[in-house]
Amino acid sequence: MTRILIDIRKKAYPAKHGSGEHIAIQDLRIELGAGEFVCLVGPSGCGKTTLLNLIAGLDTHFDGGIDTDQTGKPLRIAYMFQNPRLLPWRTVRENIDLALPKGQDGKAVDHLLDVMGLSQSQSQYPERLSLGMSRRVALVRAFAIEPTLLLMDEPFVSLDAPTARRVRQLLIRVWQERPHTVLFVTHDLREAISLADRLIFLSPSPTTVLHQVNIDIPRPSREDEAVIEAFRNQLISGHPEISALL
Amino acid sequence: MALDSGSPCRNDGVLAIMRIAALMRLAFLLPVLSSLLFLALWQVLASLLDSSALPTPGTVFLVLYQEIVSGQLPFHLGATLARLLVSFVLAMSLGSLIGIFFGQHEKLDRFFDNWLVIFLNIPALVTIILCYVWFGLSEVAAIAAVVANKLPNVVVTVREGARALDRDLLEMAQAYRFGRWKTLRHVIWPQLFPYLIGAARTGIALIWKIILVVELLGRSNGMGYQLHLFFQMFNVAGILAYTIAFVTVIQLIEALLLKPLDRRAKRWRR
Repeated sequence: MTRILIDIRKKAYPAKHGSGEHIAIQDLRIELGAGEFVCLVGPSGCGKTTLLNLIAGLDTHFDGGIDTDQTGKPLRIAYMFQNPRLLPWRTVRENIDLALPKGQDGKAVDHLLDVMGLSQSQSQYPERLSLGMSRRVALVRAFAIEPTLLLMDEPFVSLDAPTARRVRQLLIRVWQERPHTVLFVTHDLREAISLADRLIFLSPSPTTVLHQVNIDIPRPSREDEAVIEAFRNQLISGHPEISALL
Repeated sequence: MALDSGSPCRNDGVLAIMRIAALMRLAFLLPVLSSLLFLALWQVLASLLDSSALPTPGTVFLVLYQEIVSGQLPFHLGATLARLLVSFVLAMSLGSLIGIFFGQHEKLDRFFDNWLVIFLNIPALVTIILCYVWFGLSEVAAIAAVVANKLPNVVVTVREGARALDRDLLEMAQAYRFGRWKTLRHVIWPQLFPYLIGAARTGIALIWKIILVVELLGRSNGMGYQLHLFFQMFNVAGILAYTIAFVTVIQLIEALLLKPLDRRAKRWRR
């Protein structure tokens, strides 16, 4: 299994007419254990999406690096964006198959579609799906490539509460079937507590790590909202600086 | 007042809807009816005028038949279609390349934008005359003239498409390591396709018209040449017969090729 070290010394956007250079991230170091589920929590606009884009290699203009202890093999990264980002002119199945690396067969895809309740919708075009379903397709696509690291950028915003809870349960279910490292960005502390092994709190920009908390609630009892709520209250009362963030 | 007439109004509305529904059922008959009406009007007008300037539909269709049988019409129509095909392919492929390039390079695009505006506004006749003057009365000059007329149009349309490419989807393709070819085929091409089809449809209509002038001015075959000949002999029946053949072929290309392609490109839409 792979440990991943994220070390961003500085990410800045060049000066634009009028405003000076904007430093988005500074001195941010995060170490991810193998198979660990980590939630990044921070106020909106604190550069969380920027951070994920750096890790995913979408933006290479920064000082620092993303390293693993597994040499030779590049990280296989899956990225679940805030919006599903499915190709509207390809069917559900085609959208997933296109993301698969060369030589990987579709057995895992069949299973994932089945778990997510999407088997019937394989040949549909994304525009005919509800937002909840599109999110599940994006989730299948992310899991299907069997990533070493899964990046998730507030993937369940704008879903109604019951749908969001259901998709979260599905996420945990497929993740437990094949554990891998997950970096999950959210500004919803309850969501973070219900999902993560560890919480990392980020400051407003320039983003850096403020605080880390391990969550030791056993997974089955996380279904209980009272448990989550109790943990949250304890956390906030113990760390007033966190409540200022949220 | 509005209150008093409330219910009769609604009845009128219902009646109107029923009438429209009845017409819709006849929808496939309407084009036939309107064509027949057109032919009838033409027949009446031609009989009243009784002049060689406006022959009857019967005369025109007879000429059309004779020209087809003699092989004259297929020959000239073929020559024009060949030119159409070559210049269409050239204009579309060159225009798409330039359009995509400009769509992605903002600075170059701004620099050359004036050129495009100038080329868009040069009258077709000027380009044609200049091409014949510069390259002689040759096939190359003829094709070049048509391409030069169509090219700016394609560039402008495709450029719009390239500018509108969805960044989110491009990022997705990059994150999932699609690679160049997969990205082009599955992410970029489907987004450009509607623009290309748009350019193709307006393009055919435009090229058709220009190509006739090109042939009239400097070629010794093709529809334009033939029309010129008919004009000199005051043969209106011939002109009309060729026009009918011509419009039919272009409509067939539109209905059998471009429309199905357009539908295919839109099939994923809700």
